Amino acid sequence: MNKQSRYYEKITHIIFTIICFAWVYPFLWMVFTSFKTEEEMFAGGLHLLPSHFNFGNFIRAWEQANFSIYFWNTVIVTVVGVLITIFLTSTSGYTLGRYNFPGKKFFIGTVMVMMFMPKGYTIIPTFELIRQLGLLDSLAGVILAQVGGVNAMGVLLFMGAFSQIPKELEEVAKLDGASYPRIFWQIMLPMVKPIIATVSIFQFMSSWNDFFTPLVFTLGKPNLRTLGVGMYSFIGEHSTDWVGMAAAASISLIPIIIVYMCLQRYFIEGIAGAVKG
Amino acid sequence: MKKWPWIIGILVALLVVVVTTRKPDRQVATGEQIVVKVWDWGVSQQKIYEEQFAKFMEKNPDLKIEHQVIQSGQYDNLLQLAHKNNNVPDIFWQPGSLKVVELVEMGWIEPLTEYIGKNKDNFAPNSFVSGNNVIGGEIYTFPDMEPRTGVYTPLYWNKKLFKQVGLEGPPKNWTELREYARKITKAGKGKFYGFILGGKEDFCWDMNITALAGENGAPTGGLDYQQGKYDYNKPAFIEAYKILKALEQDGSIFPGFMALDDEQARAYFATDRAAMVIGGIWNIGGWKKYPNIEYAVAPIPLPDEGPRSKRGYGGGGGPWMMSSKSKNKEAVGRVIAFLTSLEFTQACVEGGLGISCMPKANEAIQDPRLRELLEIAEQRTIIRPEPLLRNMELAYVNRYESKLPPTKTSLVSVVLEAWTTKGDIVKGLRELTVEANKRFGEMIKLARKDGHKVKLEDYHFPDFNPLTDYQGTEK
Repeated sequence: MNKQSRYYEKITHIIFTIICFAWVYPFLWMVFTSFKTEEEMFAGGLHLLPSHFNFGNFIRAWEQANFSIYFWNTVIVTVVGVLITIFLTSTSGYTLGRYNFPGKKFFIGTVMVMMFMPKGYTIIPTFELIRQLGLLDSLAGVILAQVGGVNAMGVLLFMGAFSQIPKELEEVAKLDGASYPRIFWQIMLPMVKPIIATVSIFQFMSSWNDFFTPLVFTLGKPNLRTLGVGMYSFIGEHSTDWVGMAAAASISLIPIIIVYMCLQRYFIEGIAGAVKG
Repeated sequence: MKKWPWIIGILVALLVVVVTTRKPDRQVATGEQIVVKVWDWGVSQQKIYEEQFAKFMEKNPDLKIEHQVIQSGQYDNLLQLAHKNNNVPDIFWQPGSLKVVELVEMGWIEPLTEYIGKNKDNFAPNSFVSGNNVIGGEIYTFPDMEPRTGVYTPLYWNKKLFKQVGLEGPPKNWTELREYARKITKAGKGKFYGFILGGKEDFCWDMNITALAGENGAPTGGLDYQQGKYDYNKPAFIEAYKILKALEQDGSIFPGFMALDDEQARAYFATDRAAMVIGGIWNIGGWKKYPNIEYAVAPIPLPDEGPRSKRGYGGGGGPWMMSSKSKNKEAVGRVIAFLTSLEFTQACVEGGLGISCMPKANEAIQDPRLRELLEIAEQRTIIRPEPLLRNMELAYVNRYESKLPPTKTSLVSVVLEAWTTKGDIVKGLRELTVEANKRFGEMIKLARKDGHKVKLEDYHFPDFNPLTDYQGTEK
């Protein structure tokens, strides 16, 4: 690498660093705001660092948003939800990506329509269904309501990934005597790890942050609620505890960041693969 | 692979923190305890309510109150779902979308007269109004806040900024309002401004226009009882708009106010960026988070010619209700009796939840600003005519609004159109008056069609003087 290209590389790095900093600034501002007083937050404008680090917001957030109770509910709902989603979307995507059957195009079209269906329209029939199943006021009800619908994006991602795997691989496995489920679980599924990671992260974020479903399906048992509901305890009729909410959001984001860090490599591959088609 | 150990380490540490700080689950009701479920959306009331409920449960060990604060935006929907699921709270705040008379008809709520008992004497006169919170002679809900301070939105002025500019007190009339705002803005040199409002929120525009017009002859809510019809053509509305516009043209309003909501506007006032703001009683509670704030409450500046009217308030109100589906009504009734007790109300007042509708409880007010507001509201408001006292069936009229084609025209939409597009405010208000009366007439027609004995004349009180309490004799 000659001097000139090294010079351009440095310039590019500096420019991208500035862009990245601007990109993450709102996030950093939120994290640092969790250490400020409300007075300082409003008076300080976009100023990042607090005059002194006030941990009281975190204590209040922990207590007011019922983190100690809601955290475990959220973990259960999210982990089980991710597992169910991966199972449903991968099996659906496998079938749609590898096999032809009458009405396939119509089925895919229907799945795509579901992508544009606002959740508000489906909540009443879902509520009625869960009620008739006797699962209201239970975590099982919340999980089913969250993942029971079609995760259209997940199905399409898996469908695209499975359709690109060469047929020969499947045929060789068949010749070796592998059964249909075994081909799926042990040969095909491990080949789409990036998609598993991508769908897991999206579902994780969706379940972790969900507010409406856990609120509606745990009406009779508030102790079963999740963090997404707890976050709303900072919003009053005429005022909002902004710094308390920032602290709660900072705590709540830790698991999402950890999951992302664990699956980061696969996630990037998955998204890149989806874009390439 | 090297990152795995520390990621697992973080996860373990997080779990340890959660496990060790986990609060024990709420006490489970034993077989002998009766659970009373209470729902509201009062986030700011939560702490005081729960302290009081705990005290109540100590004295009533056979009862266990399960209090839930529901997010206000979802409250009505969730209450409906709870009814659908037969999982109704025993005591709840009135849903904003339903009137008492409708809830009685739907069979959702229980009469409270028996449970309130002698506690009724604790309330201020006019707290129980037939057709409003009394139906068929039975009380179905009861107010918690002082009605005059609920209606009157005063001017809050920043003492620090006023002093800095050499002004000793708040403006008393519109000329002073404009002059003071201009003087403060000039002295601020871009650091602070004379006036602020949360221009992003419709309710804020409504509050500001209504506050300025309300003592200049504008009927509250546009319905003029002297004429028995809507009248937005009153000069008061136009003049209120003009004074706000003049403040803007002078450059005296905080820049970018159109992008602020009420809470942000209040925060800028509290952090010495704006010297005056019009707001509700909730401002006083909201500013407790700002230890360095120095402010006072003042009456809304009057037109230079003096007052032409006072802000009218009605009686009645809510919000507490008892479910008709409660399984143990006697137990729930005891909680209702507690909610209407002087002990509970005084604790709410002492806790800074505002001004109560129980005069005796207000002796416990500690914040001098709340006292100032109460005094101002007593002087600047009057009892307006109450059409429901004349004809209780009028309670049904409002429900027919939902049966008419929706309209987007309102006082705020007219004001905003004029403000942002330089439209004609006079023409806009004239058209609004025509439309409001047309819709009102249609609502009456629909109500009559359904057999309700109502007529437009029921809203006509020609002997009403908007400067004095209405003391009509009709029942």
